[in-house]
Amino acid sequence: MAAMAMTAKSYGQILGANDKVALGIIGVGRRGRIVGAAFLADQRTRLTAIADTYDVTRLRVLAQLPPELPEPAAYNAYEDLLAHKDLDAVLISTPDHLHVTIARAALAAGKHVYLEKPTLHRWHEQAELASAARQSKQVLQCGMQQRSGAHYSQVKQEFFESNKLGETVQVRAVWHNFPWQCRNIPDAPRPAGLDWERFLGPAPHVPYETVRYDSWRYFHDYGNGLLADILTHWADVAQWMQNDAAPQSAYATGGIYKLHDQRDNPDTVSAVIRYKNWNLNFESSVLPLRNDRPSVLFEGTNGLLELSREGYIFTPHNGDAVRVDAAESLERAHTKNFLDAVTHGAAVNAPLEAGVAASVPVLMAVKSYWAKTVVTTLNERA
Amino acid sequence: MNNHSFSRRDLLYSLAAMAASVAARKALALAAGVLPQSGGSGADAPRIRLGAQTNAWPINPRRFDTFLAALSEVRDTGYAGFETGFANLLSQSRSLPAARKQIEATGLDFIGVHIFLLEYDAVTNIAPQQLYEPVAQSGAALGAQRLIFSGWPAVNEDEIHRKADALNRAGEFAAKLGLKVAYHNHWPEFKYSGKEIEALYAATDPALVWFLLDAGHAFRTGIDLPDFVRRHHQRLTAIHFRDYRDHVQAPLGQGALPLAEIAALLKKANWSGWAMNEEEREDGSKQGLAVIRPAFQALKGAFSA
Repeated sequence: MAAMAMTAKSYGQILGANDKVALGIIGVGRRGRIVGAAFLADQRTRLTAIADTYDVTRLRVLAQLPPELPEPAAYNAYEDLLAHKDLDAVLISTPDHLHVTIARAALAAGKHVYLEKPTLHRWHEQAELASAARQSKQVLQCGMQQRSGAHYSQVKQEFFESNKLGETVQVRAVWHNFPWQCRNIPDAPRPAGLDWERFLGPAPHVPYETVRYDSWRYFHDYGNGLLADILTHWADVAQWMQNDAAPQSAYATGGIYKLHDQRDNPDTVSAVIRYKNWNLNFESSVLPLRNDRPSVLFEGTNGLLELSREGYIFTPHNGDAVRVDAAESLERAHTKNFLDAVTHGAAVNAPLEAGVAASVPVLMAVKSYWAKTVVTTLNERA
Repeated sequence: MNNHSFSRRDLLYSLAAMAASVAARKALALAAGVLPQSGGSGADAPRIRLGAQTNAWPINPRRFDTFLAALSEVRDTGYAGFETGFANLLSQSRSLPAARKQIEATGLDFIGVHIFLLEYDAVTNIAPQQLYEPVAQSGAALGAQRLIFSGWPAVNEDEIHRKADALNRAGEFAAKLGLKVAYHNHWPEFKYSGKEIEALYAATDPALVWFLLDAGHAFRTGIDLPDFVRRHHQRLTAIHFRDYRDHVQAPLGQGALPLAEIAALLKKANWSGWAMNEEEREDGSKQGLAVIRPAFQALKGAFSA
């Protein structure tokens, strides 16, 4: 990216006299607060503005900010946030169906962008986002935070680049048990301070229902469920380690087996992604299935490698298992990398190319799930 | 609260186990008899007693021995009681009687079990009922005297009333188990000139809901803390003390927190309750005795002067 070639001096000129990155957060729900807190833990961040379509959410976040911090501006419309004076960067942590629309606007407005995963909600967005990124000189980091985890990089070098694991033909990725996606959400009138039309954005305009707002991940119009929420992370890890981001086919199946509420995304799903020389087998359920350590398990010819956010366990075919624990906050590491890129021109660990690459197997699996067939390509309608 | 995470699955399994042993808990609660009133467990107990929150220690919720080790250090420092987060007790959900014996063996009063979450019920802004009920039941079985809530800020009148109603309901439930409900603030409740905390005092039932004033969090907002304590001490059942100097956390007694002034006015008011040290650090560090010992000396000095 052009930004990488800029000097520290030129970045200093952009950032202003206090050398802090003026950050805006668009979408201050659960992820916005978690990633936003990681940003605030870095002294280089100055939170300048927030935007959210619900006034209660905005007010709650303002109240929760440390009292020593100057209170940021608060907006309903992200366009107003982007027009805020002296804003350097934005964290986009909205529902998935708004990611690309807002990212394009932010890049066009000259802001550095930290875009939560998934990078894409639909495949046709890829060309629009790539075009916006090409025309921008700003930093774009995609929110696959494993990319900044020290133990992930160590594993990549030690087990894959040096071939310690041998050939890996099967990769198994599992993650279950998401209680916040099992909630029974009673319907209630639309809160007066919620801008429902703005929440819907490019999605079909339907009457307000509490569950659609409060648990948008249940609905295909706003998110791709477990395939977007979970497979994005694990497929990214698998492709990164295997150095192969070219899935040849995907088949996904599952259903709403237990949670017969209004959702349309599955409560349980399995997917097999086939690459040239290996398979990625993915299993996920929102239900409380036992899954002590969500991980990606690489079955190599020299042993098993279980790689999780908490570390890894290598079990060689001959010899004792080796366990390495990691306590690093991946969010802090990833936001630090983004700030390094903004302030010093460092390379981002999850550039747009990585974000799009992670979305390919996901969107192939999504397409397969809904079409009930094996998918080998993505097209503009996917 | 802790360096060690407790997964949602662990939480659900443990809560299920707690719910499955209601009869055992009721028997334990009866065996424990009348729980001590705030301020002391006997007629000769001082009206103001000193306690500590355990979040200064790197307790692993999966290992109860690390929790007991922290309690030993609380006791050896000179404190008379402790408060702890509910996650530190979940590992004992299937062995509550044995765990209670181990806690009682420390000689410390179990001031309260605290429910601090990253996500609260979206309607009430405190822990959901399906969480706090089993926590209260197991807490009572383990000898806790209080069920302590933290929460999300309530940002308008509707939210204040929903939160207050939920605290009142929790107070009713906890009272049946012999527990007092206490609401613990962070700084949001004291922001904007204490708008939320004043509203919560007005909207909750004094017979059902007490307050655990976190003086450190409140002080950060710039509020007149002695004035607040003077006006509201009758509903305070405990106070967390922690100090700041130039907006940075400092050893208790060495910052700008008006500890001596608050201690003096509480004594003058014949207040009964727990003066507690809470040394949760914003950098996440767990410094244990290194911060708890000097804090104890500061508290002892302020309240015995």
